[in-house]
Amino acid sequence: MPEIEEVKKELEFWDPLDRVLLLSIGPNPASHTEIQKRAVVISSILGIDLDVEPYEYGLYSETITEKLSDERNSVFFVKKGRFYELTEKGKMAWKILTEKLDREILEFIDALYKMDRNELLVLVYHLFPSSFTKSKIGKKILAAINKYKNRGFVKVRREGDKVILEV
Amino acid sequence: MTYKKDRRGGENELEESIETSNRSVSLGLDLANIFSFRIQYRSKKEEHFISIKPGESILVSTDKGYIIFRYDNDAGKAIYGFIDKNGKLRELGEI
Repeated sequence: MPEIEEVKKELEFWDPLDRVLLLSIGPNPASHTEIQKRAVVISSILGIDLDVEPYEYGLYSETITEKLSDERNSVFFVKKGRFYELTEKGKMAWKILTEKLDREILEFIDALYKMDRNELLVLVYHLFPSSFTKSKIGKKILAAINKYKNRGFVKVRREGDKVILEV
Repeated sequence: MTYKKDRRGGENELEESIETSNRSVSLGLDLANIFSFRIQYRSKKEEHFISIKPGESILVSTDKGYIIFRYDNDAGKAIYGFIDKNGKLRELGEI
């Protein structure tokens, strides 16, 4: 069986969080923190439940960590130093998954891959305020969040019961 | 601008609109249902509505980047973040 067919067969047995994990790692090496934060955003956008709980550096998914350390997944990704990288089969699986996504979703995920680690943290803390609950870096993040407010990229005005945002 | 349909199987409505703006995204509280926000999105010829329920997020793609809206249960408000196409975080806000 050609390798690509093997990968497609394998993907049929994946649960939605396996797919979120692979999308969260992405085509370039990614740290554990980046993968966790991307997974929070990607699962949220795709409407997939991710079991997260507040921890010292914000929301954290034990399931994602378990999957990252599961030996059976080494066919698709490996850990090199602090970073996780897709293997050749993993890249094939990533390509198959991304081909099924709407273009805008894929472009958004691509933008997430380009995000600076600190900006990613700030975005996730802001969108998911429960991130602050046990955070050791909450004060620092809150100060950073405030710097991104009222910058003029999004213009907000009220019209009766509506709030109009212009981008 | 392009519009992302609800991928969570949520309620979608599509209506013709007299609006021609392709720059604005409008967000309004749906007074008929206090448990959801209703997003109204105008593209060149169409107007789209989508409801966000507590805990849900939606992505709206614009020609400049992406706005993610999330309805936070605890705070009871819609929170948004705007990032540009290069992954640069540009703005954060809440309604």
